[in-house]
Amino acid sequence: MGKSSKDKRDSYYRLAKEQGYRARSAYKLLQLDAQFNLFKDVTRVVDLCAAPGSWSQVLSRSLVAKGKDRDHNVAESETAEVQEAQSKPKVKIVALDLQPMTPLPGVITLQADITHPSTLPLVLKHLESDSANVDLVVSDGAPDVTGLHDLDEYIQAQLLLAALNLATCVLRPGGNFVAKIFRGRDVAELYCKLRIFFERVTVAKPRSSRGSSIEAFVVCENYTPPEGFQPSLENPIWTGPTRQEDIAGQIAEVSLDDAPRGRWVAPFVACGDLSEWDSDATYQLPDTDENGVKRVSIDPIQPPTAPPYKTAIEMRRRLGNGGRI
Amino acid sequence: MKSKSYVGPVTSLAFLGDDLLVGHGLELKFFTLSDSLPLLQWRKRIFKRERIQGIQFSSPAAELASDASVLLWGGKRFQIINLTDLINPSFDIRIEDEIPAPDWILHSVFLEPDGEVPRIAMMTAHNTILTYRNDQSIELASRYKWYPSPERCLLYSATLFRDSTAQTTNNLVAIAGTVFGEVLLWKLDTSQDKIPEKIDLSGRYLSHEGSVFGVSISPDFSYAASCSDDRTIRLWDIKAEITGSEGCREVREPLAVGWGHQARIWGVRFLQAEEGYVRIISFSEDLTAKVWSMRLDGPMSLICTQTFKNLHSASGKNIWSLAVHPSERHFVTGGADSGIASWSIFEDTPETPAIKETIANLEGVLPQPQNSGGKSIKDEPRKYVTIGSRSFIVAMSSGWLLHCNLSQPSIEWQKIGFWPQIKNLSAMGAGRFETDGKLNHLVALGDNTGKVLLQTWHQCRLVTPADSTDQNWVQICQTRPSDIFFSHYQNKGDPRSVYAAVTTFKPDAPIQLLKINVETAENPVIAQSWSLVPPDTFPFTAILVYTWEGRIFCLAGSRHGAFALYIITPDDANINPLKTWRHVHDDESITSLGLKGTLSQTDANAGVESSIELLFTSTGRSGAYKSHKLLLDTTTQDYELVELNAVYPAAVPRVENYQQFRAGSNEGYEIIYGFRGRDFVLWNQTLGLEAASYDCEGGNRSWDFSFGTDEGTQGKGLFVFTKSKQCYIVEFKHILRNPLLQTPFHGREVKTLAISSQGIIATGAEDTIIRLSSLDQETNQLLPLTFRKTHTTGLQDLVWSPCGGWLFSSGSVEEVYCWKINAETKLQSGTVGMLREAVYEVSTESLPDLRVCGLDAAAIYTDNGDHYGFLVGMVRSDSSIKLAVYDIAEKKFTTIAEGHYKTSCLLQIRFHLTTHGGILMLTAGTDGHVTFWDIKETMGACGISGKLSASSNSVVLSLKDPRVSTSVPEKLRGEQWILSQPLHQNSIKVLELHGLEGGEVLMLTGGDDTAISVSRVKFEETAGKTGTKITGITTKLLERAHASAVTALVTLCGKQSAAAHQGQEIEFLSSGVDQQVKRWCVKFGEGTAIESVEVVEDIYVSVPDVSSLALIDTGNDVNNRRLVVGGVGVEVLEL
Repeated sequence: MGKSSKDKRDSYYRLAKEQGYRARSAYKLLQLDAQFNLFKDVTRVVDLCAAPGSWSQVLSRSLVAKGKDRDHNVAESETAEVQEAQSKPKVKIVALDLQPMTPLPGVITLQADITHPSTLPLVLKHLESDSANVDLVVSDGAPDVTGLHDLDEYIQAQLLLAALNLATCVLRPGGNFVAKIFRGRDVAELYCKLRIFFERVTVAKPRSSRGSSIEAFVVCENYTPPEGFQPSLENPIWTGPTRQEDIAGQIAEVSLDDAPRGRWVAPFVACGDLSEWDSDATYQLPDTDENGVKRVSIDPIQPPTAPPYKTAIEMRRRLGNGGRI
Repeated sequence: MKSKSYVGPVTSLAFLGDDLLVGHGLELKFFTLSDSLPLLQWRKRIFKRERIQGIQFSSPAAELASDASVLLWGGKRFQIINLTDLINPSFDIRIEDEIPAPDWILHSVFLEPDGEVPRIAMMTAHNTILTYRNDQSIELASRYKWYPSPERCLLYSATLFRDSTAQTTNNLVAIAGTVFGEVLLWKLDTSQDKIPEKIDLSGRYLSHEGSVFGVSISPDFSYAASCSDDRTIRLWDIKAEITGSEGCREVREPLAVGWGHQARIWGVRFLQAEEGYVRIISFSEDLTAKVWSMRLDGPMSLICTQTFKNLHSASGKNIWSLAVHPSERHFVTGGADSGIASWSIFEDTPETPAIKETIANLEGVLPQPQNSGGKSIKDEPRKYVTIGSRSFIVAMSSGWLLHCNLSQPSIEWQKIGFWPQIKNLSAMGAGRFETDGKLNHLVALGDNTGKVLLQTWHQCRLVTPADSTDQNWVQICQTRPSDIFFSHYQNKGDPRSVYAAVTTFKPDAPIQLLKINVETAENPVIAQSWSLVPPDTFPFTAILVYTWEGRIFCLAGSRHGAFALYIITPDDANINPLKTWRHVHDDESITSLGLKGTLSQTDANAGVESSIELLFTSTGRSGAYKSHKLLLDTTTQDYELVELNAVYPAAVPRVENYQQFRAGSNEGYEIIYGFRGRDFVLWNQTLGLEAASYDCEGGNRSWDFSFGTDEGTQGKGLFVFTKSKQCYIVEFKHILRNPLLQTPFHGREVKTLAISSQGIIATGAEDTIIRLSSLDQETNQLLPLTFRKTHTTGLQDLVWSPCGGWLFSSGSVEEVYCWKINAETKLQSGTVGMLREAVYEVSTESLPDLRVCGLDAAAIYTDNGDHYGFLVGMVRSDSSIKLAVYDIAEKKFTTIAEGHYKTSCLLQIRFHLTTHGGILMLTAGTDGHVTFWDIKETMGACGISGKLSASSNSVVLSLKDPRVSTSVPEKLRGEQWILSQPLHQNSIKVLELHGLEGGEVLMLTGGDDTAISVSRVKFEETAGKTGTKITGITTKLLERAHASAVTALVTLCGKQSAAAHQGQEIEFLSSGVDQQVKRWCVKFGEGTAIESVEVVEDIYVSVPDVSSLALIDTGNDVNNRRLVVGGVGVEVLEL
């Protein structure tokens, strides 16, 4: 399927290209923000599992270059964002990923493992802070999906909990946390765990996220850790025991007082207005735009990262024999 | 509710001697394999919610004692069970005994028991090892011992080994594969009481370019193997790390890399190898398993020595488990498709290959070609006739006729004769006949002057006199014959006759039909011949002759996909066709015709002597094999051809022939053969498996194939062909081999499921396949009936016609098909005919990925009560709605109305007929609204009105005119909305309607927003143009009804009648992605009030991604109904 037919199939893919985002997922954060007003008064934000960087782009454009007219040239506006960032040194955006990420104006990109204890001082250093004062932690991380549902959901839950652990280390009380979640069979248990740390936990599905996808986002508002809770990346919670004493806690089912049998379902919110594009719908695009100019399909801002099997394909080509081995 | 049967991914396998333990969903199954047939001995549920992902024994399989234990794990749970108890069929396992682990278990092994108490070690997904001592007397957490991880990171794979080279057998070697392409090796001594403060990695192996999904270590602890997302197997030398004690070695270069898998590789295991070799078996998402070998003193390269292709159904995506038999002679695989199959590692050795290829040395057989005019004439094979699987005849271009005997250890050639007049012969064919229970082959060859020679062969022996002189050649036609086709059917009523047709190169010349008397096999005689006048553009390619009460019927197939019927009258020399049917196989050559079933079956017609029914099959280069019924009424001279079944096996795009096996344990196997690209393919349609294939560089060459004809050679086949002027002989063994221990089902998730009024379960899945199954009343197992891989995209929706005779299916790229389902065909017990009758015409300005998300169908009858067809409603992802009438006589869709809702994707459509005769259409989609459309007027414009009946629950329409007018489709407009009700925040995943007494309807919806809505809607017919009005609607919204999206709903009221409900209650079931099935009770109040909706039952099902629920009746008892749950697999529950 060519890129122009993908344009018709996926309106957000086309929009992302037109508006200079690295991935269509940018709209998920924009729609979450529209619903929950996540960016209000935010000056310190950490973006986890950030590559290729579309959420960081949204953060950068929304927090750093707020109010700036960006309808024109993307590159120009991003240069403007840098200047804007320099003029407002208050805003700090730290983006982490294990994969290298193309730099973004106004965003500090770090190549680091979010589960590793050494990451915390690194993040704090870049935030120029020695205490937890981050307003917002976001994570759009997802694993390689194998097709074994329970394993995939477990790995996704572990990514979310790893992000939660880092969030508990850097968030200020009252801060917010947004993360991708797979709404599978054990999702209720995850809601419970999040509910222990946040006053309000909502599961949100932006209109830009496909209805056929298991994916949704947990929006956790007002960070209020239980009394006496000691956040730590050395001894993270719910990510397997890190010492003998953890075993009892890891075996026990998590329960809330208001959640009998440890199961509590977060309220659901679909976000994004009904007038916005429907990611499940197929649109008939006019061949010309409003000015009568023939519509051309734009190349993606960033080509997809090389797949892990790239070398295997090259090998096969070299061996010849019609690709048969 | 109680689970009764399950199909779904097979997640673990382990041999117990010759027998097999299988982790299938929450259950463990035990198969005995010692006899020829695998037998399921028992199934026992092990866990509450976890699938069994691993099986281990307390000692090596060969040394298992009666006090041995079995360890089963899945997710964060495990069970340790005494082997004797486990094997005892009457011993029940308590799922309450499952033991929770502190983290996800990737692998686990037994340690030396502590006295009588079993001890195990487990490796978690965070690269951590824990030991567990199964002492029930102490508190759970204290039974565990935690060890520090050398590096806490998320793993995709891990394997623990007890190091047999170490001093104590409680020394563990752990190998792990990370999400980021690293392989980690570390060692742990679990015999010490003291827990070390820190443990170091021993080795770190880098170079994989993607997640590592499988890791293993060789039995001698010298090598490790890993496999990955990057489609490679990598072999590592770990000797130094195993013996060394300090530090971590970082290795960036593997010993060898194995390339060849074309998708992600899920697992690797070491196999026993000769001294100086390493052998590995791997399995992958590409549906193959591969055996790899490497010579340790040679060049360091992993060579793939054997590939097992298309494991299971070829429709799946994944193999999830593999176990090698202790003898290492064979292994079993378990798939995402629920299939389990057994494969032989050594079956295909160079000494006794499963497919043996020989290039015949004909120069050594034939005399040196004579020089004519100084030029040497190159002799080459022209045409073949295979006689069973052990011999064949080849006609050479020089005029030599040779016989080849393959039944001896070395190939034996025999010169049958040399006739200059058969130079460059093209007309040679063979038929079969039985005399005295012996099968003979009758070979006919035609020379360049129009003469035909007949020979009888019995196995490898020529029965007719060998010294065929010129008198044996009989003049048949005036010009050189082009081909000779035999009718492959020996009439019981006329066993002494064999029929053959001789064609010539002249396009419109008559075809000579020969009746050959084979009363004495030694002397076949042409008893009579007729000239068949071909219809226009009808080159003969196949014939089928059937005699009945002295009449001879001849059916011919043409190169352009047509059939022609002749009735042979003995005295007429020239016979004209009585009837021609065109485009039976599109415009492609008909390659074979065969009578199906026995004479007694087809002959037995209830007392009407002037008419008979012939059931026969045809194959064609259209890629199909078809079953037909030919109704012959010789009195009225009505000849009707009905297509009963059509199969387009994707594995054989060019079908040459079809054979059904009846004898022995292979009863009912349907084998189709032909060509796919360069390959000659034998396809087992019954098992849905490729039986064998051979690369012959395409089918456009001279070739012949036949199966073995006697008990000793059944399942064998002989394929001979010419390539580069040489004769290639290919012998297949094991064509009828059934590798399946458990039948495969869909390879990917079921997206839609519908049950017909006859109880046929139709499932449509992401693997693009539609399957039809029935439910075994005793065992509650799904019995496969048939399947079709015709859609090119994943299925979106399936809907049965109310009568159960038709099925409508939809997919992406605007695909909508109408299938005729012949459940009552006499094809074969346990199968149904399924043929695609029509395709809904795709609009010209087609959008890519335009999905047809929802379908509904209502029956239409004409005024005089004839079944005219159906009203089919389609809703699509561009918000468009199409209403079409399907005409069952014309086999055609006609669009009668179309329109758009808004711009959002529509997912659901339901028709409803009010008690006042109002016709309503309900649509719902991603915007969470249910919209009621009044389409009475639109239907009226096409002559369709509602058929009033006491029951408001089934939609029956009637058509005034004899035909639906085919003018411009009506427009569906927003003015037709009588209500557009927002019920959900986003996608409505399911919409169900159930008619209630008093002109009311119960409407249920389930949403992605986890809510269920329950509504009572009351309608009224108003006079004039306004049509139907909603006079009352009460909705109860059940927020957070499930923890995740609600995808399926079904009411428990009887299907046919409107439910009496005043002051009563109605029950319904719901399910969703959270894998819970809930039973709800709706209590009604006064008017249209809903008093309450409450959960009365809530159970977990082992099918992830539930997409559909349907009920099936198993008798009159309402309580005897079964609930079928579709998702990643199918589960059947007793209500």
